[in-house]
Amino acid sequence: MVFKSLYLILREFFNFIRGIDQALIEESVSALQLEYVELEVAFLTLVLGPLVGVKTVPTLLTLELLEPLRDEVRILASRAPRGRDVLADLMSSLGGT
Amino acid sequence: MTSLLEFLQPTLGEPHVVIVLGKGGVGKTSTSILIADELSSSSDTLLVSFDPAKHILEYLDVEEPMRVVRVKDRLYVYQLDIDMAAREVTSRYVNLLNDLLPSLQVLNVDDVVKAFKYMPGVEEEVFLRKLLELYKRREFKYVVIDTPPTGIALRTLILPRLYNMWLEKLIEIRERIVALRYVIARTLGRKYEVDDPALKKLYEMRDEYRFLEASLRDYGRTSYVIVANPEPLPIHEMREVVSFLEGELRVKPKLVVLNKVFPDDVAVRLGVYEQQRRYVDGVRQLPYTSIVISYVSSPPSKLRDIARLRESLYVLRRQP
Repeated sequence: MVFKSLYLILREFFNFIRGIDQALIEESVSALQLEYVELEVAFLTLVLGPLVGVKTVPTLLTLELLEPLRDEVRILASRAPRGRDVLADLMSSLGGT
Repeated sequence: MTSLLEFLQPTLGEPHVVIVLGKGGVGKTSTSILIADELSSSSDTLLVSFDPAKHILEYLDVEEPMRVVRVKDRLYVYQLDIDMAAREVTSRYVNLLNDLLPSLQVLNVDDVVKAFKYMPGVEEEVFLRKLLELYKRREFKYVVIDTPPTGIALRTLILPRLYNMWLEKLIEIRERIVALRYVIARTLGRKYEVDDPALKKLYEMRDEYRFLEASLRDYGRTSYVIVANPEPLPIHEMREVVSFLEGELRVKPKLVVLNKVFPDDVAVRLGVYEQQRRYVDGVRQLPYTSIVISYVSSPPSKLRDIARLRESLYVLRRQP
């Protein structure tokens, strides 16, 4: 009787641990899914933009805006090489180092 | 003698800009010189050529492009060189581009200039920038522009509207970004710089291109002159230009010039009398002032030859 109770408690405990594990995996995957969908949308917007009304800004306007956007472009450029390591980016955005 | 000045009225604001359009080879350059020469008899006039063929240098004995040169009492000339102009524009941004986009460092300055120059639409953008500069040149009462081939010229004239559409959209987004930044900073109790240089620049550009768009549509500020020959293709292109001006820019040409019209006896001898008469009648029926410049046996190649064109000029239709 005692063994059975202990067994049930342990089983519940392991199920609980497994649940946490599963929840963490699912949470990570859902964040990755979100990132994946965002990247896919961004990529398709760039490739198909001219066909669906998203034209590129005229070159001279871009050049004129470079100076006032200097800091933002620099941040964007520094993010670009890390684009392949989505998980690291995600972790760093959550406060990791 | 017929004065071209009376056909370009009203001329409000300075400088008044005369834009000469037409198919390649119809005599845009000689007509532009003729108009500029006549306008310069009363006021300081700048003749500008956007034509890549640079015929104006030869006509007016000017040695190099990209400089304002005085050729006669009150007549000044400026020939744009698209290569040099693209370099001038790009060189302002090359260091910034290399600094911000390290991938561009594999290209040297010449390559960046080339890459910029051959991008689709850049030629029109360079013309547009020059056009904006010309509308601001208060030292001249008149500016006469000899345009590049029709396609490029018309695309350039429609660009301010496109720019303004883009600028409105970018301003809308940027204003939201600035507002969000402000709200976040206030919520977190951080100090926030209200002045946004990018938004300021966007407002500045919107003001400039609104001014240009309005000036191009202002009948008193800009005169459109269309040049054609009494032949099928130039006449077809003239109709295309009229339809563009009326349909897209909502302006009317002030003057239509039918150039290189043969005297009747010569036309009969060449067997083109009927065709020529048909086209001359067609132009006469257009609701614009039109003039004819008769064919001269030796084509004008110098400023002094232009006087002969003036002598052979007559009014086809005078529109009140």
